[in-house]
Amino acid sequence: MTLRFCILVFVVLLLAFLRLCVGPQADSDGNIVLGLALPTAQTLQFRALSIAGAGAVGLLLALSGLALQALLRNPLASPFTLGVSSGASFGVACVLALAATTGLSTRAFGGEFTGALVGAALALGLVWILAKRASGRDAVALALAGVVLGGVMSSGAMLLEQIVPRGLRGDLLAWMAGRIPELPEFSTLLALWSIAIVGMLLVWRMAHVLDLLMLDDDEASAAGVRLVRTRVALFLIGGVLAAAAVSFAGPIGFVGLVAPHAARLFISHRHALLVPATALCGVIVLLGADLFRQALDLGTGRLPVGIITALVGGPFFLWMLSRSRRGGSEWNL
Amino acid sequence: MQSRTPSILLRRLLLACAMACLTIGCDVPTSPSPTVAEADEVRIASLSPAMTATLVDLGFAAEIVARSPWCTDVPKGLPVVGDFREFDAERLLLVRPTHLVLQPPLSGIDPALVTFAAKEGIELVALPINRMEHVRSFVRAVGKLGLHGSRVQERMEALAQIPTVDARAPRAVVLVNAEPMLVAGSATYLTDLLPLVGIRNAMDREGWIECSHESLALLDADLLLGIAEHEEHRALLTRSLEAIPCKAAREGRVVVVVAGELLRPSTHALQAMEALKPVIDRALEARGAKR
Repeated sequence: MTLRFCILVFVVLLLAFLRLCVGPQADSDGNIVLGLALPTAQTLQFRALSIAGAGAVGLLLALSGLALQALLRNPLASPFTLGVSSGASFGVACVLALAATTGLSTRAFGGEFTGALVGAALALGLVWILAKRASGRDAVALALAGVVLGGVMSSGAMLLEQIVPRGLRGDLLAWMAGRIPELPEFSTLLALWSIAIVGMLLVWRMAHVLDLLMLDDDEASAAGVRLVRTRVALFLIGGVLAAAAVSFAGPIGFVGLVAPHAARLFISHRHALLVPATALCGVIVLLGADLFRQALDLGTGRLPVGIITALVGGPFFLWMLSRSRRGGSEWNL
Repeated sequence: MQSRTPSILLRRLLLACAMACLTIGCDVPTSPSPTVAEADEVRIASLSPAMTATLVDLGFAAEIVARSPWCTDVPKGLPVVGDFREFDAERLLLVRPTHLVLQPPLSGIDPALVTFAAKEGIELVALPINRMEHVRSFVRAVGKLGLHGSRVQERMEALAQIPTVDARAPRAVVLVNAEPMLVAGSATYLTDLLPLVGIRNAMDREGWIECSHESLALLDADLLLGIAEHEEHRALLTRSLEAIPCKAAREGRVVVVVAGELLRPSTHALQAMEALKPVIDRALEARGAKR
């Protein structure tokens, strides 16, 4: 097991090192080509900040996915199952619509970051209330409320896209593709990493309870798990982690879905091991995607990182599924 | 079996790492960069297709050293350094532009880009380009860059000569996309350009409007004008316009042109519009619709 953890840490370090070394260079003819070389003083800043941003987002999304899969007891749950992504998109669409109709910059209304954060928080709050009214916040009610509310909020964003006269389609679509800023503000990065580390410690502390939560409700209660309290905690942790990631980088799909499953496959189903392994897998997925988008040049500039994670994450998820089936084990948590 | 897999993986990873280190050791970056700008050289990176089209039309194609993915008026070999929302700092450093032209998104210019440009001595020219008056502002800004032998003055005069809307002019629906039917409304550069060919926009709603055939029929326009980006779009636009249940369609007052340059607000659109004039006149006069 230690060896496997060492491998994960090694892969993280290797990807970070490669990201530091991979970038565009000018060849002898003046053409810009992709090169592998140690960064210069100028490029070190961009690459280091990009690594820090990608790492934080990967960690946040992966842990959020793990918390929500445990909360909903659903292997398909991801940070976006609770409508966080759609809520954030709706919040951003509102801010963009205000900017388009007033002619002011979005910063006059708190910026896209604030819009995304408020939208995500609103979605989480509404899901919680709706699920409580439906059936006392059980897992199925939460998932259903999240999916339905997500659909409604996505439609709201599309409605704004249609009715705002001067249009916000380009801005909204670009935001929804997801991106890792190369020059984020240091304070934002610091806040992101703080949330990520606190979130990880909280989930790690709950590891034993999460193991028991995989049993059914009666068994978990009999084993001493306070179901409501645990669910509230998981809901808040998963929601806040996802909201922080989405506000910073836009909705980047598949990380929260793939990372926990990859960690289960590679390390263990026991949450004490699974939590740090999932965090490492999340960082690997995002760093890998960011590295891949630097290396892939289709002549149209760098692809948004959200497209890479979806294109790679989807088939990888299916591969894990088929591997799990072949091995005779059930696709479970 | 279980314990052997990670060892194999680890060995492979170590091998890959060693190879990467060897490659890095062999690949020392060439210095100085061959793209260093000379003292008074103007090197423009454009993150806006409309601005690129205007720069090319003004005769500054050679000064454009980098582009956005959507800039089709310059060679594809030029490096892509970003778009309206994201910039590629490393590629910008390599192409060493003296000027960066862009249309700010709704969120405003990225503060990181402003800081980066100030630090690297790149002058930002950030203007909205939605109307012809914006194009005029951009041409004026380009005129101040100190470039010589261009068509700046000529185009400034042409822009100043765009007539104002004549309330008695025939009314036209301007369709730019067939599925969905997207029509140029008021407060768009196409509406500004229509007086050049003696017509005005029948759609009085602001922006780019998605419409149905029925709603367009209610406008009862004198002319149905379609602007296609490529030849293959022409048939689609023609079919959509001819299906509008209105008098203009029944009487054949439908004009569809392939003019991609009209689909970007630039000075290039002025010439394209003028080339359209005889076609539109013929369509209107033949049916006696010109008032």
